[in-house]
Amino acid sequence: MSRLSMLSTGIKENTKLGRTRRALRRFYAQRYLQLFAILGFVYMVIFSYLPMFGIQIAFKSFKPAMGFFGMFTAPLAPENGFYHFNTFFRDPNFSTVMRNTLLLSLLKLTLSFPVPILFALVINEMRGSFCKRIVQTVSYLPHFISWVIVYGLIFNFFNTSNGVINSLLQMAGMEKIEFLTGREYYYTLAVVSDIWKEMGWWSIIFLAAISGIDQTQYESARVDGASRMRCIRSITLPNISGTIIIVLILSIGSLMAGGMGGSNFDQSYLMGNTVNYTRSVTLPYYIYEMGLTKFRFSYATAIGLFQSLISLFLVFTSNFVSQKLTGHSFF
Amino acid sequence: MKKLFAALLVLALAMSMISAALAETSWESEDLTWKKNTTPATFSLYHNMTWAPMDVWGKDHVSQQVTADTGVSFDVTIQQNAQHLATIVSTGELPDAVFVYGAANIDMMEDYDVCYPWDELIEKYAPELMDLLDPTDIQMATKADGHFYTLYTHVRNQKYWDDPTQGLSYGTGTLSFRSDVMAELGNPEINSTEDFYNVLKKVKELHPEMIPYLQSDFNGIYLAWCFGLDYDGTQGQATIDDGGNAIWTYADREPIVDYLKFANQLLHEGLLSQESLTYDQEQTKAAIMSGNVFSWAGQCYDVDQWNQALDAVPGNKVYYESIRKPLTVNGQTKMDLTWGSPGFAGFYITRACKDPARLISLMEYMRSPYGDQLTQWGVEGLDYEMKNGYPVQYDTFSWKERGDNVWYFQATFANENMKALAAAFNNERFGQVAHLVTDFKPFWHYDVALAMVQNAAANTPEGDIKATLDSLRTTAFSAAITSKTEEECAQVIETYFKDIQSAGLDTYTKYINDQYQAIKVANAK
Repeated sequence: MSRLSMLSTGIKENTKLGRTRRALRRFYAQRYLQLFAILGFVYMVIFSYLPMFGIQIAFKSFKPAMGFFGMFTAPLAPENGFYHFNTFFRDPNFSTVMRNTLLLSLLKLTLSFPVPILFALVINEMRGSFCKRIVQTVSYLPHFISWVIVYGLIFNFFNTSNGVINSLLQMAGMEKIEFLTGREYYYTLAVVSDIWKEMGWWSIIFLAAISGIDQTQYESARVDGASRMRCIRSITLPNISGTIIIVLILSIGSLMAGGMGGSNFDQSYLMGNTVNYTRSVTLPYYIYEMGLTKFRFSYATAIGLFQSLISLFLVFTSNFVSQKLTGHSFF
Repeated sequence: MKKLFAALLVLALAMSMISAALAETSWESEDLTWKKNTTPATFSLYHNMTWAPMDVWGKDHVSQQVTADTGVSFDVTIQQNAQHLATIVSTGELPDAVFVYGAANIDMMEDYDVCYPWDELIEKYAPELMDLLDPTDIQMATKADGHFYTLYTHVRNQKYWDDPTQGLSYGTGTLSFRSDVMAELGNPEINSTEDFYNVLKKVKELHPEMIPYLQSDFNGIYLAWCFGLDYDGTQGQATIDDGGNAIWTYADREPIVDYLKFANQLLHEGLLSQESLTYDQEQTKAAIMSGNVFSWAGQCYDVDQWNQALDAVPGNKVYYESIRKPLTVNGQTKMDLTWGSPGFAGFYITRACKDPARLISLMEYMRSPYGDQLTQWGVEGLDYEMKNGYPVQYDTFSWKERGDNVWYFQATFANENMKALAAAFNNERFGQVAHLVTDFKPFWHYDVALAMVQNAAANTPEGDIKATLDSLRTTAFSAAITSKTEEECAQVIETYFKDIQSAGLDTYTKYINDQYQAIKVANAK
């Protein structure tokens, strides 16, 4: 390029065209990373944003026979479009569904949330790296097993016909226990299986945060005579508090779906049955039941929208509270 | 001369008209529409009869014969999951034909925008078919818009019902017991619910490892019927109260209270398996095949099918015998069931079909006695032989689990029942169904007006109420049966009746009763 053209180019760099050229050059330099981002963005637009057009059927009387474009042409539902929402609030199952969803989710948040943190702290304190790696690998493997397989395992252990646990009980001269149908056992099975399945996976995030802590802090603390527990309390936990808060906000945001593991639907679908229904039915499962087994699409959409609004409220509220209390926030 | 010629012409015309009027159309006529075009044609078909292994047309004798006779064949798609049909309807990717059972599926198909009404197709392409059809069948299938979009399979009309040689459906509920354990107990008589309870207690003492009684939610209705609960197979799940009004079956208080309390007592004392209440057909069969079940509630044909399966196991000694009468309750026979079902399944010609004329003519073929027998019995000589007027099927064409085809698009109940009755000729040991379908008939009666009550469509106020009522019923029945104490059971039942009232039971009752009364008046004229 000649000096004159470079000079002229330099002048052009300060104009709108120049800024555009700079941006394009930067984009080209990051083209592979941008490709990843664009693919993710396109995926989100197609599967998360475009389907939002369907939300309108929550306010309409939609039938499957109306076809895809029926969501635009379906008549407005009675009660100024709020018929389906009011129907849900009047539904005799409303209190059962909300109670189960909130109780299960809060139990999972309370019990499942601290476990990966504690597990990460324990692994971090392990000395032998070989043993550490084995434990870590084994602990997150259940995350890759689908809930269908997990339920198969639960069934084989707990069914009354030939389950391991009930066979042992019978051998000990005790009565069989209806773990899989007893309403009193559902919450325990759901929470414990959720912890078992997700604990190892979520501990990876906290382990990654712990590995980023400056080691000189620990050295200084040890020189000052701090014990292990003191190091954990005063160095480890404060340094990973930001990560903890982010994960907590995300968990609260997906509270209705079952918190970190988001397992409410899978568990309701697989472990729920007619006998334990009053304990196993949760909001995500009820949406599926109404929409895809009873073909009440508008009704199910209304319930889904209700769930989404609650989740949105929880995300913003927890983010706000976190920012005020700790200075950490997601956005 | 001209006048004479004109007179002769008029006479000739009049004679031909009279002779045409006098000549009755019959199923054997050569003028039937389906016989006029038998060129090869392939259509796409969706069905949801997932219990049958038929996912390809043309591999079995029946479909091969249908193609040979009519030229029609199908590319078949079987239901993959419960929402499959709703997905294809809402995306507009309909096949040419849909053959489905189930109220929700039928409701979805019976829509002018989705399917061709048969009345219009018959009038346009096969007008002679209307003369051959039973008006009752048409009445059963006619919707509020005045059209009928199918003729249901397995419809029973009054004439058939009154025929003493015809029995019930082989899907009727019954109770079966292990004959070897009964012999061990001295073959006690089981005539009442009290006898049933006592026998279960003795079995639990003698065989603590055995499940005394297995009752799935899917098929376990026999016991409820013994207490007087009516059959719930009508479209609106309606029964008739003492005043002659149609009410929702599960609002009939007395039998429900008595049945739930009895079932709760059985469960409470370890005589009824709680886990079995959640079993589907496959799980029920697996439990029975394990040989660890003393008695179970199921359908009539299950007894023979599962006895055959058990017999195939080397060293098997297990054989189940079904009870051939209802159990009395406090000395009274309370079983009194109303048959008011409009039929089982429907074949729908969708708006996606480019040649509906061909499919309606296929329905004419299927509706004929020959087509009906072919699709239900198979090919004579290959699949069955006639013995004493009954089609006795060869073992290679078991009429339920192996080889059963689903191409019975216009099946009548009469020919299905002939198969059941013929079972006794095939092998008495595996022919209990032949007796059961006639033994229980005296405890049923027919109500054609009830069969014509229309189901409340989804996404209507009555449909929403019905969906809520169904949900309450399922939950309450399970909760009542599995209650820890009698008091809790009674409380659950009371709450149930309060909840269904506040869910809109009166509105739904008015919906079905208004229809029922209007149909009765119309039928009386």
